[in-house]
Amino acid sequence: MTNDSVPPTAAAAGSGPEWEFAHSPDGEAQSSSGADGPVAGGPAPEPAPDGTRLAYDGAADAAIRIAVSNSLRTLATLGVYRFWAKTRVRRYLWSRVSFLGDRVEYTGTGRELLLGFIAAIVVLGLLGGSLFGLEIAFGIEHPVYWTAQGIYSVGIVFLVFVAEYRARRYRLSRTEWRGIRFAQGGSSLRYALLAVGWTVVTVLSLGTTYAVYRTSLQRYRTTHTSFGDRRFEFTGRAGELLKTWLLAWVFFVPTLGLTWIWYRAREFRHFAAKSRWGSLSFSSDLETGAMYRIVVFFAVLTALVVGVLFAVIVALAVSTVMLNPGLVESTQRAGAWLPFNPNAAELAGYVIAISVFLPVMAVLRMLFLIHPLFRDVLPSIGVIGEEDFEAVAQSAVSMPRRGEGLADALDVGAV
Amino acid sequence: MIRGTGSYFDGASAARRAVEVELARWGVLVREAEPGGRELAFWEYRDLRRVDEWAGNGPLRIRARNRNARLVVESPAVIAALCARATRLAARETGWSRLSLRWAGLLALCVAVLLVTLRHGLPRFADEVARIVPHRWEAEFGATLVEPVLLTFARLDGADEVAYCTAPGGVESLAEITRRLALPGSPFRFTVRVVDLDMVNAFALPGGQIVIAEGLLRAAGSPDEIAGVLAHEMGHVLHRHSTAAIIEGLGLAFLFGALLGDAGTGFVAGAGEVLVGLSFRREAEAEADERALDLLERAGMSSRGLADFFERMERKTGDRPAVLRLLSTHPSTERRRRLAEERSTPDLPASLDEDSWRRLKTICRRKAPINPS
Repeated sequence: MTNDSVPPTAAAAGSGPEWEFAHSPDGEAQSSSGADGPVAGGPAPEPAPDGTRLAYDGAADAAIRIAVSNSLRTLATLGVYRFWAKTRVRRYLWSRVSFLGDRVEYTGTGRELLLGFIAAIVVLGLLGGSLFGLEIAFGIEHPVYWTAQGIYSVGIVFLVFVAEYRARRYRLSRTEWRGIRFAQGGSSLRYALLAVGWTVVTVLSLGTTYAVYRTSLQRYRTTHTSFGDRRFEFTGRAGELLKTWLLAWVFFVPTLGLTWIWYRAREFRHFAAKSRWGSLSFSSDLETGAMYRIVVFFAVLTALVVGVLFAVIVALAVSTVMLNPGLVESTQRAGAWLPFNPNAAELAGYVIAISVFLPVMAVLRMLFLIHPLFRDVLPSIGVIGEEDFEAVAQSAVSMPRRGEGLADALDVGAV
Repeated sequence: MIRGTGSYFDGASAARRAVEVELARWGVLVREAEPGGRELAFWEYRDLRRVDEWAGNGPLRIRARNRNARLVVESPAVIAALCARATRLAARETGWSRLSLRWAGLLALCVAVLLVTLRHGLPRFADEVARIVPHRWEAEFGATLVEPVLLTFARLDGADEVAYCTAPGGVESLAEITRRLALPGSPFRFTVRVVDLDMVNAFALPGGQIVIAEGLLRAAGSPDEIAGVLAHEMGHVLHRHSTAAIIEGLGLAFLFGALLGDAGTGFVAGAGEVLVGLSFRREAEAEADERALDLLERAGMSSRGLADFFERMERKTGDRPAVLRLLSTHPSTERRRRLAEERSTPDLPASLDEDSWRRLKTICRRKAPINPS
């Protein structure tokens, strides 16, 4: 039965330009049909002459199926499934990204996310609970209470950055390529201090030093990231982006914020060009126009859909009540059974809104934001140079055991 | 013998090895592709797992349980044979997953757990916590809450400002009823005040702060009605219902925050806000009613007034259009009225004489405005 004469794409590790990825050796297209067009390769169909590119061959229909089934399951479990839902989405997206023909892998589990969330809830619950205790014990006008309240408010901002850094650590530790994982060292506290410090400076300078803030955080993140046993390097300097940002800043208001997208695209190309790993350097030819299309289209679409859905729900609710006065008494009786006695209209509104909005928004987000961003951003990244991957060993940085709890509890969003 | 090609990653270095994959009797044998290549791994079929969420028709990426190494099988014939032997590799149905019985069952279970928690767990917890809050804390907490809560009520009522009613005669009458109703030697101290709001309402805050709206005073037909309502609010205080309700409200915000994923922001909701939207559970209302009847009996006052008040409320809610009734949170008052009627003793003197009653009715002739700070 061994009639397989097609040679595998593998030849020898480390040779560059002749690699082709994004399609399987037997030539079977991965359900990438439909309006989506060719998904792999981005603007340049062939590997760029200066090296190789990352590839993404995710398919819109598979992404929609995952989003729909995830949101139905999340509804069915009153939100508890969301940890497994996130994991499924990442497993899919990660596995559609490849480099040198080998796919990336996400190894995290829903259980790790759940445990991380429980841990974070306990910490935040204790903090919030003790603040409430102080409020009862001293009253809201006592200096002890408002000092504690002030510390808490500042602390939450600080925690948001801690959460962001820790979530990145978890995600990288669960990201593998060729069986070797990424890792992030460094300290989330130091990162948060850096971030809060630069945030204060940015606010005081009325936003003009935003590029410095961005560069300094990017430098911390990149230089503490490693793949296998080697760290990334970053040579970017804030001064190089400052002019770009100031231009964007000046025209920010007249263009309704569109220059921010322009800045972020340029920043992305700049950061890519200033990053190195071993003997590999990177580049990106991310098109600013593509970013405009994705972000603006998604924003407009979301506003439209939310507006229409909202109007429909309100109209339905009002007409139902008008037509069936008897309904009011019965729902009220049902509502009275609940401990917190919400009025029936509110309760029904919440239930309908959540069960309609949640799936619709999940699908829109996946189809028109996340999938297009992966499709356009990742293949824009080119890799220059050659590396002996045989010599790259597994990372020795310890892996976090639980994931992203704080980020989830504080709603620090990402994929 | 089924053989095919693939790539192997050993989990120790980032090298890719071209391998020959052989399906042996018990498992997969992975060998270096060149002739006479050495054996790299042997994985039993029952240990094999899929790596990817959505594999499509391309190469199949697998791992063995508890191993870091990865194997990508490229030959379609080998993939098919492998999936037949290793049951765990067969493509899971991930597509338009219909809400199967399993998920419906899970939904039922989750709803049941949530309802039991809301219905029994959280209120019990809140009651227990409220019981151990020291009286002094409760009193101070209640005192800081009164004015913010009144200002919010005023805003809801469409008034720009709100004032305590302080005409001396009326204050005296109110103090007389309060004194007669309060139990001697109780750790609860009551502060009863009338405010110039039009709503027909009265409410109890933690630590004995009781507020009666002028609207209620105006609607009341006898001093016994006021005494009944006051006794009812005192019942809430003695059972510490508002403290428990605040704790329950915070717990609820925390619980929903946990489910929907933003516990941090939802948690520190102002307790005053919770109180404004507050209506006690039916059990709490029944407890307060019962306690009110006891207090009235002990003070030698008739519970007929409380029954009259409930009757008034019943008539009032009955007249409102359906949409408004949908928005109201008041439970049925008919049973409460009947209970108060059953326990009423006939021929008791009115709780206030004619003069005192008139003075109480006109308590808002003098006012002390509350300043929003």
